[in-house]
Amino acid sequence: MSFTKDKIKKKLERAAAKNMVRGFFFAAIYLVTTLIIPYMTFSWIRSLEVEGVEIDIYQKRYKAIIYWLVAFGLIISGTAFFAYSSPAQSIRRGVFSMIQIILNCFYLWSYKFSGALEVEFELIDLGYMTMNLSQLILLYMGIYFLSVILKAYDLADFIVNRKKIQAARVKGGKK
Amino acid sequence: MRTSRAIRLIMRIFLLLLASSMSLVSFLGGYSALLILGNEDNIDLDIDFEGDPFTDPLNFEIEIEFEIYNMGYFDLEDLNIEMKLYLVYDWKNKTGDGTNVTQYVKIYEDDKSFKTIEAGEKKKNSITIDTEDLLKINLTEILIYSDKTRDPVIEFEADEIIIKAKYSLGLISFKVKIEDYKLGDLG
Repeated sequence: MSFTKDKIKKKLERAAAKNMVRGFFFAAIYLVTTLIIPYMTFSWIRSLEVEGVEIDIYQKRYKAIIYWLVAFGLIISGTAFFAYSSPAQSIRRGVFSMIQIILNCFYLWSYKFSGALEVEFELIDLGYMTMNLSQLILLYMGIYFLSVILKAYDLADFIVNRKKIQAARVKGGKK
Repeated sequence: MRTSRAIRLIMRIFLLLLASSMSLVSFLGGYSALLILGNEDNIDLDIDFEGDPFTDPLNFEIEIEFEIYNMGYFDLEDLNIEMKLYLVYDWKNKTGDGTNVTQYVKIYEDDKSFKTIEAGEKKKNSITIDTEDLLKINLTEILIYSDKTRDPVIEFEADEIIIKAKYSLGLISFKVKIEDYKLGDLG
């Protein structure tokens, strides 16, 4: 009996360590995709030259974009850690996954209120260039909306079938 | 596996594919911009004019020629160019106290749409403006009152040249606004 208990305990410890590694891995992925890549992109745009003419993104707008990118990027990466380090089919994972998706929607929406949806650059001594990304962002929002529905369904399923899921986890089998 | 879980799995795969393809389109769109804008030879703008609207109005012509090499991965769609051209001169002694006043007379305002430039293609387009396309202005008044000592006496200036187009399957639209662009002069 105690041998079985020890076996289960060791198995759970191994699973916990595995979950932690997975959590760090996904947090790192989200940190790169939601913070580092967009930050590098906007920094690169600032130093871009079009037809030999320097372009300049307005300093105030650039600061606002970077502020919201960093703020939401960090929160999303943090929630990604909690979501992916939670056991599969657990209520904790369901809740954090849904929070993460909703935060992703806010992250995309932050592109609008930070001014990144329609980025205006100054073509020095020539004029202006405006890039409108609203269609792209709206399509992403559509994908996230479907993801929210899916995650809400997942969460309801994890709550309703909680006992069955726990029993299957102890057995070591998949439900 | 329960039916609902199977459906959710299919949905998840579908959303993953959709999000991945969107990310790929965004990335390729950005990379295309780098390819097109990174090389000065990919966009060539040439403005030329012939004749004199005052002395030889029948042969007067402004030709704006541009060539774009779409090196990117997507077609350049809905290309549209909008222009406002002005004639600039100094009205000699306009105020009566010997002061010259610079006048801006609008001579042309229109927009023109062009065919899609497919990915990997180089296309040359042009806009030709002749006397018939010009707005009705009092050329005699300009000839009489313009300050002949000004160098140049009369200038042609594009107050605004707006270039609009869509890229990355129409998901990204951009607008380039060129202001106060000197086209040429007379005298």
